Amino acid sequence: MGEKMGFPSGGLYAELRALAYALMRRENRRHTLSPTDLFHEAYVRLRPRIEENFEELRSTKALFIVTMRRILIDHARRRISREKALRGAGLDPQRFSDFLDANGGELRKAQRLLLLEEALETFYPSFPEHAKVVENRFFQRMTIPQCATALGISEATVQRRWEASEMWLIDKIRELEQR
Amino acid sequence: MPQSTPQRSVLVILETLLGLDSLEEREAWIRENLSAAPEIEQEIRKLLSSGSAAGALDDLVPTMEQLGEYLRDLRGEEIGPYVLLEKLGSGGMGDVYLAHQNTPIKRLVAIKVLHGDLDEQVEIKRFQREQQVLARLQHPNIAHIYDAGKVDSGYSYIAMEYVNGLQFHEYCRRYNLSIRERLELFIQCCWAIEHAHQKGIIHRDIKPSNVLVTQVNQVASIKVIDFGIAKAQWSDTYSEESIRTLGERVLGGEILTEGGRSPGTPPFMSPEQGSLDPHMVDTRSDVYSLGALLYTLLTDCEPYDWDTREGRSVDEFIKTVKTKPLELPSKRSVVWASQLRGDLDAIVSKAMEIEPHSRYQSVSELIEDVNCYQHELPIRAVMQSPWRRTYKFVRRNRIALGAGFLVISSLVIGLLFSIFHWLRARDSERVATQSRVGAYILAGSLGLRQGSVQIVKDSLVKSSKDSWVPTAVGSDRVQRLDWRLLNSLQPNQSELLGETDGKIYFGLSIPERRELVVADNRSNIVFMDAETPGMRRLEIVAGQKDINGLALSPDHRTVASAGDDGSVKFWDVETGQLQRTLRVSSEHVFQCKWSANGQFFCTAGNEPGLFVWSVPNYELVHKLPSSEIDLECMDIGPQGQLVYGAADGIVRIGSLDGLDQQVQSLVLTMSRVTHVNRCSVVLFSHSGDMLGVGLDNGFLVLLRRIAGVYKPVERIKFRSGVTSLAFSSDEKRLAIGDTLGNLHLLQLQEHWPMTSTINFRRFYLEAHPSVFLRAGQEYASLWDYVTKATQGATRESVSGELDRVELELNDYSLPKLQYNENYVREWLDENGEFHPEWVEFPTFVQFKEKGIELHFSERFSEWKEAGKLGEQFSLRSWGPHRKRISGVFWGADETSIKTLSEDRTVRSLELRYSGAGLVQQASVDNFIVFNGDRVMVNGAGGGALVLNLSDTDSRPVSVENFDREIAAVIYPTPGHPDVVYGWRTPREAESRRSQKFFRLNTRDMVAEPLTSMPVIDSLWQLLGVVSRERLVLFYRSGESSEDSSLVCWNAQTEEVEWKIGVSGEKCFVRPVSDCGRFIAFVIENTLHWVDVDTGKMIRIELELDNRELACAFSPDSKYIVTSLNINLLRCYRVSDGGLEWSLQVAGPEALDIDWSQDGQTLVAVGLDGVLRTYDTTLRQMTSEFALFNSDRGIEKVKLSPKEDWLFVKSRNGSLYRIPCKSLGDH
Repeated sequence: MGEKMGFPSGGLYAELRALAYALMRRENRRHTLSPTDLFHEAYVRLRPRIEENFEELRSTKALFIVTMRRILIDHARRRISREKALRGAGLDPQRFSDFLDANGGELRKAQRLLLLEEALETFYPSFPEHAKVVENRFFQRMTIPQCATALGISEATVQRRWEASEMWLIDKIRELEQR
Repeated sequence: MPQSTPQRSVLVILETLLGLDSLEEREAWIRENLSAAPEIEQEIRKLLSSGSAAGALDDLVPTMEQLGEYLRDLRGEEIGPYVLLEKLGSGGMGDVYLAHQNTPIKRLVAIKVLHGDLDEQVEIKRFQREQQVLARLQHPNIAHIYDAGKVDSGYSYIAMEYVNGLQFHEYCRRYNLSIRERLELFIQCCWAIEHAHQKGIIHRDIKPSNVLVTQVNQVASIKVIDFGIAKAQWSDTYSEESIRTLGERVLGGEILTEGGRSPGTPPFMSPEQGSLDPHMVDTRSDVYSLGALLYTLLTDCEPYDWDTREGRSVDEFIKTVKTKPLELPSKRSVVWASQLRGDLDAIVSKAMEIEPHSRYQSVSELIEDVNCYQHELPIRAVMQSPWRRTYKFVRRNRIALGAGFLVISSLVIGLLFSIFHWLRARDSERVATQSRVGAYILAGSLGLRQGSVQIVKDSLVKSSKDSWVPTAVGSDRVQRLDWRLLNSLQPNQSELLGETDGKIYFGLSIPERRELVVADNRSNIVFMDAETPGMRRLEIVAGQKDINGLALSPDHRTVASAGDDGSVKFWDVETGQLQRTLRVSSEHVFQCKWSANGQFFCTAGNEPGLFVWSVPNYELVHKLPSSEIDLECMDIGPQGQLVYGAADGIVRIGSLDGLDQQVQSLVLTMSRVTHVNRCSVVLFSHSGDMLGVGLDNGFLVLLRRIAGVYKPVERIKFRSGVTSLAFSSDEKRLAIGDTLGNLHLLQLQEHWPMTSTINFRRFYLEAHPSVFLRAGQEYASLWDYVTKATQGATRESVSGELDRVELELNDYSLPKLQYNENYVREWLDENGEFHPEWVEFPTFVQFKEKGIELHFSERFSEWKEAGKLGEQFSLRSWGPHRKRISGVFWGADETSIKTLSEDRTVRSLELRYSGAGLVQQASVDNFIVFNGDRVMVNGAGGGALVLNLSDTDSRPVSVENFDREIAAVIYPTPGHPDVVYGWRTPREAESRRSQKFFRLNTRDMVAEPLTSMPVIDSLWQLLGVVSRERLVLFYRSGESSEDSSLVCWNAQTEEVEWKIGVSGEKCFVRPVSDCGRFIAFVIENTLHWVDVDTGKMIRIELELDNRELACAFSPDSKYIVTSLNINLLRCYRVSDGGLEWSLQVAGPEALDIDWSQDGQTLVAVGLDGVLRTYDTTLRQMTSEFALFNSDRGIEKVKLSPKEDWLFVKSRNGSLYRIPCKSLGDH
């Protein structure tokens, strides 16, 4: 999926992740670096290589989103394989707090995350305008007004597009779940 | 994906609908617009019916904080065969996770993950180094490393043994351990660190959370973890600059904040770790951290408070540490103040000294002191009052000293005893706290002789029941020893525990049951109570004819007996029930044992070969080949090493991990003339680092594991066959039982065995030499007194200054010292002057290798000073004249020679092997330096090479590819500086006519056989080099020992000057007279000397058996004096062999003799280590001086030309220099 989406893969991605990690650690200690700064810095450092490899990643934003989505997928996959491994090691996952919360806990959440990715794969090319809203809301954590400003459309439109997208995606996830 | 219009419209419609406020409006809109497209209507209705979706995805998509969390949280990540499960902690280089491994083995591991590879060069290098570092560590108390590598996703990892245990300090508190128990565990921890140090690794982050305690078989066991910031001491794989880069770029100031500061945890971090210079950190930094750990264990608080909340920087903290005196543990402890006061305060303070050089210089020194404390011996840490020391000494040696007390004035006795009682009352407290010492300290100890089991309990510490002493009293074989802890030997304190019907061949102890299990040759197995004489819990009639061996399973639930009927039977320890019978061979099974991990069971028997069986099904998995000769003994080491010794005297070492791999074969036959020696016992030490081999001919060979290979480091000859061995738990002592019923105790030195042998019959003399040596001068008077008291001597106390220059010529060179008298050659320059600073000093290498430059140079400067004095002297007869050489030389390892030149630079010369199959196992300790700048290395595996020291690119050249060692090399003659003569040991099977003597031109490295030598088909011995031109050789020319010859060969002319036939086989002494005209030797009972000029020989028949004797020519070569083992010195005229005088010596026979320049005084050293001077005119003893206490005695003694110094070399490899004025004869 990553390749189709134009994700940086292999060495570059690993590099990106390592950098993000190191910066995150620093951020965590000093409480000065904002998440946006973080990705900005990541972008600045890695731009030469990004430009060389990925035309479409020329903006900070694109890098940001791509990285974030990648982190999410990674995380979700880890959740699932961890659960499996705990069982493999003869340990009851129920004994671990993060598998205990409602809605089936983290495991279900992780599975849904992966399905969301799958849903987005259909969603992005089908609804490019909606995709922009989703990107901003999801992966940049923009508010409705911020989003409206960024996209140059009315807040009401943003609101409607967002809700419609959510509905569609949730429906798609459910559909995939029943598969 | 193609864009589908219906799809697109669905969302647009939906959006429109959402723009409508009420449900009614939406319904109306749908009906109005979608009635024509039912599919879309259905779709829209479905979407709408799923209810409001607002916020449903928010739950899935994380916030920024969560995202950061996700980045850090690697749980679930698959790295190689591992899946990370839980985070265990964060270390310097990355996070540590609990992980599950699925293939090839299912197990839990601890895995350290280095996240990311931003600066690949630096990071990965450092990580790889860590892997290499950890891979070098193999110790039961260090978490094992399983695997390391880097996976495609970019993670580097190290998979380690998962230790399920409590942190050290928490464990101590939870189980409310006593001081003694805490110290026991602490010592385990120290051994682990010491092991790492020996491998050249500094831990650098020792703290309670890095030391875990697990329960192994109900016994607490230490596991040191997180060698994460461990540093290989000589590693230069990352420069200071790269550290800085690393710190700045990757770690963002978290760990390596300021430049090259070494990571560590402040309250446990040594002050020098806080400095900016990473080179300041050495093994003594770990000593500091261990001290801080001990502090915490004893006081329940950290040595200095470090409050991170105040944001104090490490610098400030270090400043506090450096300026504020350490609050003594006794002041901090609430519960143990009184016990901590004194020794423990001192030990902790010494370990935590600010200056590294004030601390214990090694972990083993710290261990030694803690051990001393545990055993109530004096510690080195503080200058105690003399009375306190005396008290301890008396406590340990009450009986031995009994007689001695009688000769002391009553006043002194009164004083001593009143103090004694006072201290004793104090000490009863300590005993009370020690009574809880667990079963793991208590170990049954037994000495077994035929039919009886004897136990000797040490009465001094009997109340704490932590120390039993094995011995065998009587004249029978000591058949088996099982011994964990030995404090002292008290021959008079034995107790008969019980007897069996038949002869006992084997026994073992079950510590937690406090039982001994013995088996006799009538096939009975008896479980005896080790504490109550006569008490037997179980008696089993095994029905196996004889029982040759017993083994205890690792879980201590099963005892296996190896029988003469070819079977092994397994018995339940609890009930005595037969569990299983294993048929091994048709004849006898000699021994059996489980591997430490319980996975294998091995049997040795007289069906040639060693059988390895799998547990629990006992299927034969492997048959290790051996010679056609019966296997006599075997042992399994803690890491699965397998050793087996056969009746052919060959010991083979393999591994249970690699059964198919080739085994290491060691031929331990000691002498070229002795016969085949059977191996009677092999035993690994508890850590597996040492291996003891006992031979039937009385030789004990100690091997040490060096780079994974066991190498002999010490050979000791006992009077009778060695039957049993036992290492003490701290591996500092070795008990040896012999066929005469003697028990010997060996003191093993810190790094290398050993300096002294203790025979328990003379134990009072030898009580605690290490204490004596350490205490030095202050102790000397007491020492003297003890010696006198026990010997009943009446002489005056001599308490002269012992101006001692100690030179530890131990490790590799020790065997060489014993067998090759040429060891001092390199110490002399062309004028024959002695240069102590040239002396090979392998111990230096130890330090050097560990990177402790300071040690090296400190010691060296000490020698420089000694050298200044030494320049005035010559040790004339210590070797032929040497060319001046430019430094100290030593063989650092198997492949290099190191040199220390006068400007103190150290160079390493690598020995590069050419493709010609040159030196297979070059033992570089065996080399000579000649012609100023040439080094010739004799390869033990055959071959030789010559290096040019001044040439940076020395190209070694093959001399000849011998398959045996080159026995000796003769130095170049004045006329031909490039020519070296030598010969090699002949091979047994070699043609009798083969030529073994060669001449080597080191210019072109062409070696030619020398035909001018008579064809000699048997043993060569170099009697001596009488001058630069002439050498005298001894050889046997025929089958019969009667046909031996002496030949004088002239290297100048390459011709034989004369040849004399002599009878006899063994040849011992070979002094050369000062004028180089006479050479003396002893063949069997006859003393010979030869006038080399004329070939005239004089023989003196001596009334003694062939013992190694001393003799010396007088400076004017008119007289020769010899020492006889009937305590006589006899002086003969050299010219005609007439007896000039004879003199009774005090004490045992002299081992070495020398004359003063004026011929007036004779100096002789005795077997008892006492140096005596005799006046040759008055013919009486003029003085005596107890030099060194060791029954290995003194080997060499030489007077300086001005006779103001005496050089003495003890047989343990120490060199002393004694001012003559203290001898009282000048």
